[in-house]
Amino acid sequence: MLGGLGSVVAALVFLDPGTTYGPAETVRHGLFQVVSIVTTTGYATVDFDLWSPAAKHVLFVGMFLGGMAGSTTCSIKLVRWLVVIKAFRRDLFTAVHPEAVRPVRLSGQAVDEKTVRDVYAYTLISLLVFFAATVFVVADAARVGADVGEFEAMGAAASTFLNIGPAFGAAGPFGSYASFPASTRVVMTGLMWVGRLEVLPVAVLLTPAFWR
Amino acid sequence: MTAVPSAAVRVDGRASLSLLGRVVKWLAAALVAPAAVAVYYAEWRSLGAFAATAVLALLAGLALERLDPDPDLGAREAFLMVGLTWLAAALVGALPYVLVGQGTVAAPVNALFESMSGFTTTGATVMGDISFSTHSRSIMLWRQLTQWLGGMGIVVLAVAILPELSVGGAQLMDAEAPGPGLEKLTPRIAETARALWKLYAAITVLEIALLYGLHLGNLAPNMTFYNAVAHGLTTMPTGGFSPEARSIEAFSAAVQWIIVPFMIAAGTNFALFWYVLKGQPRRVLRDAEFKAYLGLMGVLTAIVAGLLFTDPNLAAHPEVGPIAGDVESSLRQGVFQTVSIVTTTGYATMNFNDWGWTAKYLLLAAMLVGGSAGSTGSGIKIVRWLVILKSLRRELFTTVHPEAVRPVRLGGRALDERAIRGIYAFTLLYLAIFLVGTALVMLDASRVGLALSGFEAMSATAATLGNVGRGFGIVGPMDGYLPFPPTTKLFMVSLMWLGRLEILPVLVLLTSAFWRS
Repeated sequence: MLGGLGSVVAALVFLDPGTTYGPAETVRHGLFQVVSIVTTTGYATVDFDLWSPAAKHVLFVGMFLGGMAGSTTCSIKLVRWLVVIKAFRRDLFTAVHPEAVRPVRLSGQAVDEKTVRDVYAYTLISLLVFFAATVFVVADAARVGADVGEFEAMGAAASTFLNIGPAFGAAGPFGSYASFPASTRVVMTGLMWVGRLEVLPVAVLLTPAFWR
Repeated sequence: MTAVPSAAVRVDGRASLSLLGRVVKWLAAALVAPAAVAVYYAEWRSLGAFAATAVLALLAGLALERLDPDPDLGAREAFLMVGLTWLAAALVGALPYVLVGQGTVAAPVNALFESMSGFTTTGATVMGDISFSTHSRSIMLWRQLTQWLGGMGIVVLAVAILPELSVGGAQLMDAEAPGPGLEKLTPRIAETARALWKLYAAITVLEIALLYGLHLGNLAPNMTFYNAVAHGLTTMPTGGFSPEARSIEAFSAAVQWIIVPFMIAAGTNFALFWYVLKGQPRRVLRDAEFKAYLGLMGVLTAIVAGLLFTDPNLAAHPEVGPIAGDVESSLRQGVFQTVSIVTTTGYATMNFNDWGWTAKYLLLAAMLVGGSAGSTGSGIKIVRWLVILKSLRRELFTTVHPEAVRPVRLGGRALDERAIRGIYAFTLLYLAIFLVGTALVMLDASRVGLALSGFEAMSATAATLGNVGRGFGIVGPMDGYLPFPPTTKLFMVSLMWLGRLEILPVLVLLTSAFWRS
């Protein structure tokens, strides 16, 4: 998976007339940035903010993948996406064969239906939090008159919520988040907290059922 | 040899194609309306195009019908038939644009885009010059009519009028109907289909009468009878095509106010109207989705109208005059655009590209909400979001109380866990297609050197997948999808198709399990 994404980015960077790294450099930079983003590390060997929009978008999508469960990475995690994809395929199968009973299997083991639902719920809620955070970043920047583009806002929201670090634009790999208004930075602090604990433990604290 | 269970048999493509033939044959009949308009305005070239299309549709329909004189319908045949019907309708609908040869829609890819956008009630246009100086009145009417036919569903209409579809009709309607599950109003499915179409037609006629009434009452000078019919035909299907280049902005405030309740009605579950007519109006008030639908639009309208009222950049707008500081104007612009986007209609009373970022993002978010189940609206649908919210709350509760068994309830009824999982899967799949689609649109645009921002690409993808039609920037409410390369247009044609049929019926056609025996 990392290899595939790395080659896509390398190819896009190589084809971009705006960058002149040469073949070996291109592969190194492409792979390094992809691995850094997907594993939610956040290192950078080059200012990828200068890359073409297409390459930046692939990196952006990479933000949502995350490393493996049980690793030190954050984001949504590959195993969740695997379960989601397998469950989709199962649902398509049962749509055609309504009478079939077919559990979702991961490495040969059947995955509990409740777990499948939880994985769905977690992935969905992550996307929703990300979207709401983006809207907030844009709105808050507009309030104080700061110039934050929509892609920058999306990148910054994803990067803080998914615990990656650098994003695009002002918050690029060689930039910082200092240009965002204080209120946005407070919300981003909250996003990092919520993201690191994978949403649920924080959300539970906000329900009345927890305190009663 | 013993009888094999249906699942073990290969999908019967002939049965699906034969039923498809019956629908295509009847599409020829739908061409009578624009043909009559062509005669009235003496547009002979257009008349020829409609006649040629009708003959071709009739011949193709009859040929397909002969494939299987007595088609048997199973689950797979139903999916195949519904999927193909919408593709075939788009192809037949594209023919008149090509044959008439007026303007940009004469190019085959553009014609297919316009036709798919019509039938799926998207309202995204690739017409370069939307005016009668380029296009005949009859072809414009055909453009409006495709939306009206697609609104309540071509297959639902077929079930209503074709007796051979009364068996297996429920499966067909389920594959086509918006929202999870189909509400049977009457014991016989053909009667349900007829009831839905009658209601739909009646409300359309009422709107046409009111719009024309405004014209007669001197409140809408340019709402001629033609325009009244044209807009009646595209409000109720939540379509959004308008023969006016500047959409509803071209009309008076009275017209704009009148259209709002009809858009709201179009985004409402049609079963609710049926209950009102049957003397059970309390079922409407008890309906959880309806309450959420009205509540959501109310809150969004209040926020958007507030933002418009206080936006210093809207103090004097070149096209629509002052909005900021004007209560009526900011309320009207706020409610119209909000309702138009939530119901996936896509009309506009102003170029909302001129709004502030917050208001624009709210509209983009609204695109992902969608209308009610059982309405003519598209998108993810309110009821799905309701179930997701309730299920998430349940999840939080059971985390604190792991021993608690607590079903998710909607309108007092406990929901099946399988249905909840299905709703999660659909919503997630929808968002995934939206994100991947956005990336593909961006990539294709950068390939041909078309300047497209991420926000524009997101809105264009959400607007085609959600059958809304209008986005931001270059695909704004007063612009169209013409600048996109043909590859993107074809991709969007498939997005509209996927969105209208709610993904699953199209996606199963791509699985190997569907075609294997």
